[in-house]
Amino acid sequence: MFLQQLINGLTIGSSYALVAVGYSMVFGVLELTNFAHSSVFMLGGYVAAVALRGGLPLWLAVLLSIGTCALFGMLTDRCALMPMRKRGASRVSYLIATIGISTFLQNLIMLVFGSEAIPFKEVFPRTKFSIGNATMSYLQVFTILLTLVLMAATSLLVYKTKIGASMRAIAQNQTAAKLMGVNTDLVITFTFLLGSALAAVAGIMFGMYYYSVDLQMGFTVGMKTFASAVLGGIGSLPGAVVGGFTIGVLESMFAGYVSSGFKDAVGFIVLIVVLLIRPAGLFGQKKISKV
Amino acid sequence: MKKGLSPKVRIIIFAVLLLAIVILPVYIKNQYIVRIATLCVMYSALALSLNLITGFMGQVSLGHAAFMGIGAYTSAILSDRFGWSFVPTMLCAVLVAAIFGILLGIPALKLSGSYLAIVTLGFCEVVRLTELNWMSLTRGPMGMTGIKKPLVFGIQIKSNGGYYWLALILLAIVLFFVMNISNSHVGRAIMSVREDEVAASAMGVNIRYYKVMTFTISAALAGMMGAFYAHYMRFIDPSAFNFEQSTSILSMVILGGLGGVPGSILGAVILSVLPELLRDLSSLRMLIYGLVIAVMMIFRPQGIMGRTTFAQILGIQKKHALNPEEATQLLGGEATPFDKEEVEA
Amino acid sequence: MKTMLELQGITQVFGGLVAVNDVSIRVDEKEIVGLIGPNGAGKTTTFNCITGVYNPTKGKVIFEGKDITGKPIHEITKEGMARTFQNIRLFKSLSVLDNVKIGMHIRSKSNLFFDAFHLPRRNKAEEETTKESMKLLAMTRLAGNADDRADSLPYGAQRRLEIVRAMATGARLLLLDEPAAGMNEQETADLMEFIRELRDMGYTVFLIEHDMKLVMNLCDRIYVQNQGNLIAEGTPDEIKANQAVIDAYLGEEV
Repeated sequence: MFLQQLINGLTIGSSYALVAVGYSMVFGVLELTNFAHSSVFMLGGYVAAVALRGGLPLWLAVLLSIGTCALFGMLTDRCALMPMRKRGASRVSYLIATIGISTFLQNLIMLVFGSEAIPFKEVFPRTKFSIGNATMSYLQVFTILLTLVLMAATSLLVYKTKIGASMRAIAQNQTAAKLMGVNTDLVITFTFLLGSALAAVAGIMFGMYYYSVDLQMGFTVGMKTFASAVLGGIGSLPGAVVGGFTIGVLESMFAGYVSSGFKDAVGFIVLIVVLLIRPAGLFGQKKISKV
Repeated sequence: MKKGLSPKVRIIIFAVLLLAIVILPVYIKNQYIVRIATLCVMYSALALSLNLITGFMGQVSLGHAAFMGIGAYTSAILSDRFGWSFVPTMLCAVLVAAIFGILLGIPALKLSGSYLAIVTLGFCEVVRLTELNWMSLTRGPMGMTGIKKPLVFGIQIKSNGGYYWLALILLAIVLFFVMNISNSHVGRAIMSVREDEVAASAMGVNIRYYKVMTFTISAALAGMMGAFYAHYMRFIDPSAFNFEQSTSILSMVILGGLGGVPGSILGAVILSVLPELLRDLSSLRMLIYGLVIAVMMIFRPQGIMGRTTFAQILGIQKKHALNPEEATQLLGGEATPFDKEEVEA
Repeated sequence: MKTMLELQGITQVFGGLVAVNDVSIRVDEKEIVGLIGPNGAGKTTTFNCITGVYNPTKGKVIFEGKDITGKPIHEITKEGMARTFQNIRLFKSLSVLDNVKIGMHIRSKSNLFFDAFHLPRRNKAEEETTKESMKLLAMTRLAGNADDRADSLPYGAQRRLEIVRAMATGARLLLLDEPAAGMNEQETADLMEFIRELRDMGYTVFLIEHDMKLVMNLCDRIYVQNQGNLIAEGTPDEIKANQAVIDAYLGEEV
């Protein structure tokens, strides 16, 4: 059972990792938790599910999903957060605004796609092979590998490209970055776009794995992925990945060994424990408050 | 806003309005309207209690529905199992909700901003999951039905009007505490936490104490309204106390104005009435709430009324500013060390 | 003369970086003592160690003979010292009067119970607080602005309000972090006058400052900090002649 739960946990943890990276990146550049991020994840799952149901080929469904989410992420920043930045809004205002956007998007999805769960067409043969006394499907292998590849690509982008350098510069000090000629608005919008695109992929993987998407997925995953980001150390990319896999595995183990009714509470419990014991997370650095 | 009127006229208008609100069930015979008015009153009280945390202390809480739910279940269970009447069950609801307020306040001590918001959100979810899974206590997803109508000091509440007045009394209690607290030394300490935590503690304000205190008071008041909700709806299930409920209450506070008492009431009334007016669009309720929150934050973060107080509306707020002569007089007529310059305008 | 504040070998390390190294400082009653040094010398960190913002890695802070090392900020304020901040930290959206009233927080005789039920004791306490606050404002030429938002005041007045707020705590020792920062010459001159008056009223003042004119004219004694270490101590004239100080400021006129 242990091995089986581990495999399941890693698979579901892949989705968490991809979403957690989005939280982490936005937090990195804006010191803001984007509450709407989990709804974007849900949007990604829904768009792909509906596109597949409508008979579109997989690649087109995936592209459509990523495109929609990226656009929404971009609009979130351009239409809501950027005007607030210009005005010098307080941090609480940003936070509340994203809560509003999240509620808006969730209900928009419900309005457009209905409140019933939508089945996710099986696009990947679920052929299984056994490892010891556990089984693993090729879908699971694919999911985990894809996550690792995407994470590697994201890391390359953040650490090796010019826009990545700009992102890191803003994370260090937004004012200074601006003075050094970084187009901060562009980079911040790009960060939203990138995070949202990854969330879309996560939403698709989540749908594939559970064969359906429903209105609860955004909420439950939101809590767990935020916990993942905090566990890994918010603002840290590898941290978010490790955090995502860890939460996935913990949740799987909890469901297997303790109780499945409360498995959704695992993320919350981890979050509380991390925040109380090591608020900087596993990979984060302790922040010195400047007075 | 009623700019030209003298305080006297304003007070008369206010008194007439107040009277109209109090005797509303007497002259409105449409029971549907009375029920909506009751909801307005209930949500006003809930919004006010949340305003303590979010408006006055500046911390975003997404767990308010949980306190309401804890109060509702406590009252319903005590009434159902032990046959207690409304007042004692309500007081227990207040107490239990307050205890959970302390429990949530403790992890909240070290946190603020996003972290606190997420923790309160998680708290709301854990409470909901508990209500859902603790079948023997709460009957889980089936919910609790047939909750008794409240018996208050020997008076059996039966009619819609009776519920309305009960809600008004509870709102008056909430108003009494929220206004007293906000307009006092404790209230200033709470607001100083919102303004600047470091500066506040440098002034000797024990941030942790005030955070837990605010959460506790707010939770207790929400618990009280939860008890009312249970006996009013006479049916509760975990879905009534979910994240959406928390968001609804939050959007009322934001629409009306963070940190203002009349604002919260206005916000609650608007957002309780609006979905009813747009009956065909009732599926849009949460969509509208979300939009209200986001749009207000982008264009008018202070809400409709901001921090306007009743005293300001009535034009009777105290002025403290002194001109130089008065200032000298205050200091006992002596030449002050710093009176060489004019008072800055 | 009675010793008011004493730092004994305060060291503050942040993840390997020594921000304050073995700093010992003494401030006597009714003295005006200055702490100067180039940017990044660790002056504000020293202040933060005194006032409880940081818990120093090593060393002791003794206030009026009592060890207060590592106590939380609000308790240190209760001991009788209060501070201002380098970047003014007023309660911006509250009124000038409320800012001072919050300063009087620890002296209020009311509590949650009296406040929540609006009992006579709350009213009496509130009246006293208001009167006392207005007196402080009147003394500092801010009484005319009592109802204004704190952030609507002119810059110099905001600095002054921050000091008034610190006085309101009932502190005997005031720690002022760059009180003249951003002020023009006239404002600085007013401030110097104000700080002298503070001493006449019985306050002890320990301040960080960049403005050499202010420090040299105002302070009884001066400490110089550079890269975390204290490099000199003495009267203004001694400091002006100190070679180590001149080197640290390299070219700047001392």
